[in-house]
Amino acid sequence: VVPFPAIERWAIPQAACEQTRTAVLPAGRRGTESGAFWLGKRGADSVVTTVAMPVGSRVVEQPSQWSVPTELHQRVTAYAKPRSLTLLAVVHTHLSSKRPRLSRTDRERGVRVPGVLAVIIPVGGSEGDPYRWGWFVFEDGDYRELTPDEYTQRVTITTEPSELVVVGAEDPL
Amino acid sequence: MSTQEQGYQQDQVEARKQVVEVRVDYLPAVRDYEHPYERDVILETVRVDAMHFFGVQDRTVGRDTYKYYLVYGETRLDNTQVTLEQVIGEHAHEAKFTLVEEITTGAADE
Repeated sequence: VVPFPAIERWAIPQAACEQTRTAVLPAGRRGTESGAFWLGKRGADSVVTTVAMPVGSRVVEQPSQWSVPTELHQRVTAYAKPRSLTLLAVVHTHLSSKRPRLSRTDRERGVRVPGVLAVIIPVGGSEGDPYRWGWFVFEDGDYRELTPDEYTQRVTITTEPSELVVVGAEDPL
Repeated sequence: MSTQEQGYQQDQVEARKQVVEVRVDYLPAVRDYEHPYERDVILETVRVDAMHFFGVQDRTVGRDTYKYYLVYGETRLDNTQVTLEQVIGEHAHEAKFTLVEEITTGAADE
Protein backbone atom coordinates (compact mmCIF):
# COMPACT_ATOMS: atom_id res chain seq x y z
CA VAL A 1 0.00 0.00 0.00
CA VAL A 2 1.47 3.33 -1.03
CA PRO A 3 0.91 6.38 1.20
CA PHE A 4 -0.98 8.26 -1.50
CA PRO A 5 -3.01 6.00 -3.82
CA ALA A 6 -3.89 7.61 -7.15
CA ILE A 7 -7.28 9.31 -7.25
CA GLU A 8 -9.49 9.05 -10.32
CA ARG A 9 -12.66 10.62 -8.97
CA TRP A 10 -13.92 12.50 -5.93
CA ALA A 11 -17.42 12.07 -4.53
CA ILE A 12 -18.33 15.11 -2.48
CA PRO A 13 -21.63 15.41 -0.61
CA GLN A 14 -23.59 18.58 -1.25
CA ALA A 15 -23.99 18.54 2.53
CA ALA A 16 -20.20 18.90 2.92
CA CYS A 17 -20.23 21.87 0.56
CA GLU A 18 -23.02 23.50 2.56
CA GLN A 19 -21.42 22.73 5.93
CA THR A 20 -18.21 24.28 4.68
CA ARG A 21 -19.94 27.41 3.44
CA THR A 22 -21.86 27.75 6.71
CA ALA A 23 -18.59 27.43 8.63
CA VAL A 24 -16.64 29.98 6.59
CA LEU A 25 -19.36 32.55 5.88
CA PRO A 26 -19.07 34.41 9.22
CA ALA A 27 -15.43 35.14 8.47
CA GLY A 28 -16.37 36.18 4.96
CA ARG A 29 -18.91 38.63 6.33
CA ARG A 30 -16.19 40.05 8.60
CA GLY A 31 -14.04 40.52 5.54
CA THR A 32 -11.53 37.80 6.28
CA GLU A 33 -10.61 34.50 4.67
CA SER A 34 -11.36 31.19 6.32
CA GLY A 35 -11.29 27.52 5.47
CA ALA A 36 -11.83 23.90 6.40
CA PHE A 37 -10.43 20.44 5.74
CA TRP A 38 -12.31 17.77 3.84
CA LEU A 39 -11.59 14.32 5.21
CA GLY A 40 -12.63 10.99 3.81
CA LYS A 41 -11.63 7.69 2.29
CA ARG A 42 -8.82 7.92 -0.22
CA GLY A 43 -8.66 5.55 -3.20
CA ALA A 44 -9.28 5.56 -6.93
CA ASP A 45 -12.80 6.65 -6.03
CA SER A 46 -12.30 8.95 -3.07
CA VAL A 47 -15.20 9.95 -0.90
CA VAL A 48 -15.46 13.01 1.31
CA THR A 49 -17.29 12.12 4.52
CA THR A 50 -16.27 14.80 7.00
CA VAL A 51 -15.72 18.54 7.17
CA ALA A 52 -13.19 19.50 9.84
CA MET A 53 -13.33 23.14 10.83
CA PRO A 54 -10.33 24.40 12.80
CA VAL A 55 -11.22 27.14 15.26
CA GLY A 56 -9.60 29.09 18.07
CA SER A 57 -7.33 31.99 18.68
CA ARG A 58 -4.37 30.38 16.91
CA VAL A 59 -6.25 30.14 13.63
CA VAL A 60 -5.36 33.23 11.61
CA GLU A 61 -8.26 34.69 9.64
CA GLN A 62 -7.22 37.86 7.88
CA PRO A 63 -8.39 39.66 4.74
CA SER A 64 -5.73 37.94 2.66
CA GLN A 65 -4.73 34.97 4.71
CA TRP A 66 -6.01 31.88 6.48
CA SER A 67 -3.51 29.93 8.52
CA VAL A 68 -3.86 26.81 10.64
CA PRO A 69 -1.12 26.16 13.21
CA THR A 70 0.59 22.82 13.56
CA GLU A 71 -1.10 21.91 16.83
CA LEU A 72 -4.53 22.12 15.23
CA HIS A 73 -3.34 20.12 12.26
CA GLN A 74 -2.23 17.51 14.79
CA ARG A 75 -5.65 17.52 16.42
CA VAL A 76 -7.37 17.03 13.10
CA THR A 77 -5.00 14.11 12.51
CA ALA A 78 -5.83 12.70 15.95
CA TYR A 79 -9.51 12.81 15.01
CA ALA A 80 -9.06 11.40 11.52
CA LYS A 81 -6.62 8.52 11.87
CA PRO A 82 -8.59 6.30 14.29
CA ARG A 83 -11.50 6.61 11.85
CA SER A 84 -9.34 5.73 8.84
CA LEU A 85 -9.90 9.16 7.35
CA THR A 86 -7.33 11.08 5.38
CA LEU A 87 -7.09 14.64 4.18
CA LEU A 88 -8.58 14.90 0.69
CA ALA A 89 -8.91 18.65 0.29
CA VAL A 90 -8.11 21.98 1.87
CA VAL A 91 -10.99 24.36 1.18
CA HIS A 92 -10.62 28.07 1.75
CA THR A 93 -12.25 31.31 0.76
CA HIS A 94 -11.15 34.23 -1.29
CA LEU A 95 -13.01 37.47 -0.78
CA SER A 96 -12.92 38.38 -4.45
CA SER A 97 -15.77 37.54 -6.82
CA LYS A 98 -13.29 36.96 -9.63
CA ARG A 99 -12.71 33.51 -11.04
CA PRO A 100 -10.70 31.77 -8.32
CA ARG A 101 -7.08 31.04 -8.90
CA LEU A 102 -4.36 29.91 -6.56
CA SER A 103 -2.04 32.54 -5.21
CA ARG A 104 1.66 31.90 -4.77
CA THR A 105 0.98 31.52 -1.04
CA ASP A 106 -1.68 28.91 -1.73
CA ARG A 107 0.72 26.96 -3.92
CA GLU A 108 3.74 27.13 -1.68
CA ARG A 109 2.27 26.99 1.80
CA GLY A 110 -0.55 24.53 1.25
CA VAL A 111 -0.46 20.76 1.45
CA ARG A 112 1.89 19.45 -1.21
CA VAL A 113 0.84 15.85 -1.60
CA PRO A 114 -0.20 14.13 -4.84
CA GLY A 115 -3.95 14.10 -5.42
CA VAL A 116 -4.85 16.53 -2.67
CA LEU A 117 -7.34 19.18 -3.77
CA ALA A 118 -7.15 22.87 -3.06
CA VAL A 119 -10.66 24.26 -3.37
CA ILE A 120 -11.42 27.97 -3.33
CA ILE A 121 -14.86 29.37 -2.58
CA PRO A 122 -15.07 32.94 -3.88
CA VAL A 123 -16.91 35.90 -2.35
CA GLY A 124 -15.98 34.89 1.18
CA GLY A 125 -17.96 31.66 0.92
CA SER A 126 -21.11 33.23 -0.52
CA GLU A 127 -20.92 31.44 -3.86
CA GLY A 128 -23.14 28.39 -3.48
CA ASP A 129 -22.50 26.62 -6.77
CA PRO A 130 -19.47 24.31 -6.50
CA TYR A 131 -19.07 24.49 -10.27
CA ARG A 132 -18.10 28.15 -9.83
CA TRP A 133 -15.52 27.36 -7.18
CA GLY A 134 -11.83 26.94 -7.95
CA TRP A 135 -10.71 23.31 -8.12
CA PHE A 136 -6.99 22.55 -8.14
CA VAL A 137 -5.17 19.25 -7.75
CA PHE A 138 -1.57 18.76 -6.66
CA GLU A 139 0.34 16.82 -9.31
CA ASP A 140 4.00 16.59 -10.29
CA GLY A 141 5.14 19.06 -7.70
CA ASP A 142 2.57 21.80 -8.21
CA TYR A 143 -1.13 22.54 -8.24
CA ARG A 144 -3.02 22.74 -11.50
CA GLU A 145 -6.62 23.70 -12.12
CA LEU A 146 -9.11 21.06 -13.13
CA THR A 147 -10.52 21.89 -16.56
CA PRO A 148 -14.31 22.21 -16.79
CA ASP A 149 -14.52 18.85 -18.56
CA GLU A 150 -12.25 17.26 -16.01
CA TYR A 151 -14.32 18.69 -13.18
CA THR A 152 -17.46 17.22 -14.76
CA GLN A 153 -15.85 13.83 -15.21
CA ARG A 154 -13.95 13.55 -11.95
CA VAL A 155 -15.98 15.46 -9.35
CA THR A 156 -19.43 14.26 -8.37
CA ILE A 157 -21.59 16.21 -5.95
CA THR A 158 -23.65 13.61 -4.12
CA THR A 159 -26.64 13.50 -1.79
CA GLU A 160 -24.74 11.47 0.81
CA PRO A 161 -24.55 12.81 4.37
CA SER A 162 -21.50 14.55 5.76
CA GLU A 163 -20.24 15.04 9.29
CA LEU A 164 -19.08 18.42 10.56
CA VAL A 165 -16.36 18.38 13.20
CA VAL A 166 -15.22 21.55 14.92
CA VAL A 167 -11.61 21.19 16.04
CA GLY A 168 -10.27 23.61 18.61
CA ALA A 169 -6.96 23.54 20.40
CA GLU A 170 -8.70 23.85 23.74
CA ASP A 171 -11.46 21.33 23.13
CA PRO A 172 -11.27 17.58 23.75
CA LEU A 173 -12.02 15.50 20.66
CA MET B 1 20.70 -25.16 27.09
CA SER B 2 24.38 -24.37 27.29
CA THR B 3 25.76 -21.34 29.03
CA GLN B 4 26.83 -20.05 25.62
CA GLU B 5 23.29 -20.40 24.23
CA GLN B 6 21.85 -18.70 27.31
CA GLY B 7 24.28 -15.85 26.84
CA TYR B 8 23.31 -15.53 23.18
CA GLN B 9 19.62 -15.43 24.05
CA GLN B 10 20.27 -12.86 26.74
CA ASP B 11 22.12 -10.72 24.18
CA GLN B 12 19.16 -11.01 21.82
CA VAL B 13 16.74 -9.89 24.54
CA GLU B 14 18.96 -6.95 25.39
CA ALA B 15 19.25 -6.00 21.73
CA ARG B 16 15.46 -6.02 21.35
CA LYS B 17 15.18 -3.78 24.41
CA GLN B 18 17.33 -1.20 22.64
CA VAL B 19 15.02 -1.00 19.65
CA VAL B 20 12.00 1.26 19.47
CA GLU B 21 9.27 0.48 16.96
CA VAL B 22 8.45 3.91 15.58
CA ARG B 23 5.27 4.77 13.74
CA VAL B 24 4.58 8.16 12.14
CA ASP B 25 1.20 9.11 10.72
CA TYR B 26 0.47 11.99 8.35
CA LEU B 27 -3.02 13.34 7.71
CA PRO B 28 -3.11 13.06 3.89
CA ALA B 29 -1.61 9.54 3.81
CA VAL B 30 -3.44 6.23 3.94
CA ARG B 31 -0.38 4.41 5.24
CA ASP B 32 1.84 5.18 8.23
CA TYR B 33 5.63 5.20 8.21
CA GLU B 34 6.90 2.35 10.38
CA HIS B 35 10.50 1.58 11.18
CA PRO B 36 12.58 0.28 14.13
CA TYR B 37 15.19 2.66 15.54
CA GLU B 38 17.88 2.43 18.16
CA ARG B 39 16.94 4.29 21.30
CA ASP B 40 19.80 6.71 20.98
CA VAL B 41 18.95 7.88 17.46
CA ILE B 42 18.16 11.58 17.29
CA LEU B 43 14.66 12.71 16.35
CA GLU B 44 15.92 14.52 13.28
CA THR B 45 16.72 11.13 11.76
CA VAL B 46 13.14 9.99 12.30
CA ARG B 47 11.75 13.27 11.00
CA VAL B 48 13.83 13.20 7.82
CA ASP B 49 13.12 9.51 7.18
CA ALA B 50 9.37 10.06 7.65
CA MET B 51 9.40 13.08 5.34
CA HIS B 52 11.24 11.00 2.74
CA PHE B 53 8.67 8.22 3.07
CA PHE B 54 5.81 10.68 2.58
CA GLY B 55 7.61 12.50 -0.24
CA VAL B 56 7.56 15.90 1.41
CA GLN B 57 10.33 18.28 2.35
CA ASP B 58 10.95 21.50 4.20
CA ARG B 59 10.97 24.43 1.85
CA THR B 60 12.27 27.94 1.81
CA VAL B 61 10.33 30.65 0.03
CA GLY B 62 12.12 33.98 0.05
CA ARG B 63 13.13 34.54 3.64
CA ASP B 64 10.56 32.13 5.09
CA THR B 65 11.13 28.46 5.82
CA TYR B 66 8.22 26.06 6.11
CA LYS B 67 8.99 23.02 8.19
CA TYR B 68 7.42 19.72 9.00
CA TYR B 69 7.33 18.84 12.68
CA LEU B 70 6.97 15.69 14.68
CA VAL B 71 4.31 15.72 17.36
CA TYR B 72 4.42 13.28 20.28
CA GLY B 73 1.22 13.15 22.28
CA GLU B 74 0.16 16.75 21.93
CA THR B 75 3.66 18.19 22.11
CA ARG B 76 5.31 19.59 19.01
CA LEU B 77 8.95 18.61 19.09
CA ASP B 78 10.88 21.66 17.98
CA ASN B 79 14.21 20.30 19.20
CA THR B 80 15.01 17.32 16.99
CA GLN B 81 18.55 16.92 18.29
CA VAL B 82 17.31 14.98 21.33
CA THR B 83 17.26 11.19 21.26
CA LEU B 84 14.23 8.97 20.99
CA GLU B 85 14.83 7.81 24.55
CA GLN B 86 14.82 11.37 25.85
CA VAL B 87 11.35 11.81 24.38
CA ILE B 88 9.69 8.48 25.14
CA GLY B 89 11.53 7.47 28.31
CA GLU B 90 13.66 4.47 29.21
CA HIS B 91 11.01 1.79 29.17
CA ALA B 92 8.86 2.41 26.10
CA HIS B 93 9.54 0.18 23.12
CA GLU B 94 7.03 1.77 20.79
CA ALA B 95 6.53 5.38 19.82
CA LYS B 96 3.87 7.01 17.72
CA PHE B 97 4.44 10.41 16.19
CA THR B 98 2.42 12.61 13.88
CA LEU B 99 4.04 14.56 11.08
CA VAL B 100 2.45 17.99 10.81
CA GLU B 101 2.91 21.20 8.93
CA GLU B 102 1.52 24.67 9.22
CA ILE B 103 -0.97 25.35 6.45
CA THR B 104 -1.32 28.89 5.21
CA THR B 105 -3.37 30.11 2.28
CA GLY B 106 -3.83 33.60 1.06
CA ALA B 107 -4.88 35.72 -1.86
CA ALA B 108 -2.56 38.61 -1.06
CA ASP B 109 -0.27 37.90 -3.97
CA GLU B 110 -2.94 36.94 -6.48
